[in-house]
Amino acid sequence: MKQDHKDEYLQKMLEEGISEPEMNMTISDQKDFDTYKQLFAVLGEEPEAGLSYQFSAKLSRRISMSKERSFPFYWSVALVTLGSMAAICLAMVLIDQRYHSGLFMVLWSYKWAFVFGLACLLAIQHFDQKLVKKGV
Amino acid sequence: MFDEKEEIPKVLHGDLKAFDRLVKQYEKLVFHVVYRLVNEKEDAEDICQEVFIKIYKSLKSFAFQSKLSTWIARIAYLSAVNHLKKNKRASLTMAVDDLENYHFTDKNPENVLVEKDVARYVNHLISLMPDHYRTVLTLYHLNEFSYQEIEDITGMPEGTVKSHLFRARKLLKEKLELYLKNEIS
Repeated sequence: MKQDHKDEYLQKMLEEGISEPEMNMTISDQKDFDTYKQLFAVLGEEPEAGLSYQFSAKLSRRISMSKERSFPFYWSVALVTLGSMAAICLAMVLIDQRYHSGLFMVLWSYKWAFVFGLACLLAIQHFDQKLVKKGV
Repeated sequence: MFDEKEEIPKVLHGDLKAFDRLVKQYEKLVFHVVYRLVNEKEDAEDICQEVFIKIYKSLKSFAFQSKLSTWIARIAYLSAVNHLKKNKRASLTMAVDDLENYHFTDKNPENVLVEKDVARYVNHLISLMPDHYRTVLTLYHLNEFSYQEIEDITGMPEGTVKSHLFRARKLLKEKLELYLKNEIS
């Protein structure tokens, strides 16, 4: 226990930047102080190993690649959705004459609802991207 | 000099050069934290990449309530700990009682070679220590964080940080004392 107190005291001295042992210390305490001093010096040294020279360049490349991939994503989703819907409607009309007056007419009557929904989706995605970039 | 108040908005506006400056400013801090925990250079480099990608993606959530270095060190620490958990390192689950009674077990011929240099010897001893000891030693001595900042980074209470730091230094000092004695004789 007494030894712990002594060690605590010596460590605190070095934490406070005291680099010389006190005059009234015993020889054994002075030796301990010197050992701690040496230890503190080593603990403050950087390890030999480090990151590779091209680390930041590799990282920047990886980030810009992921940005290029992610940016047009919501436009792709919108285009695929719109394209698929148009293709399905067209196919139905071409394949079966009944759809001229049936399902196609129903869908046609909701055309503005579809357009509005799609516009809302794109607007949300667009402003979300803008606000994220601005850090809001 | 890296001015975080000036550079962070630039990064958030997509300025990759500003982000590059941020990486250069903090790469050593991230590497020290990760490498001390992981102990494998290649793994450490991969984790460092992941850390900086996380930083890039979540920088918008940084609210300047702490120093940027503390925030980055926390991400690095948690990423390294997650890596260790995935690899099921036993020392992570070591109980506090065990830590208090920790003793080095480094007596093998390979380690004798390391003992030729004080710095290498101490670093080797650190690599054998439990993760919590290594973390607090690195954050306090190498990265010069305060006890409060180490608490913010690791989530350990300040008293525990102090206790781990004290025990780790004492263990190292005892080993170093023996080493120096053998060197002289």
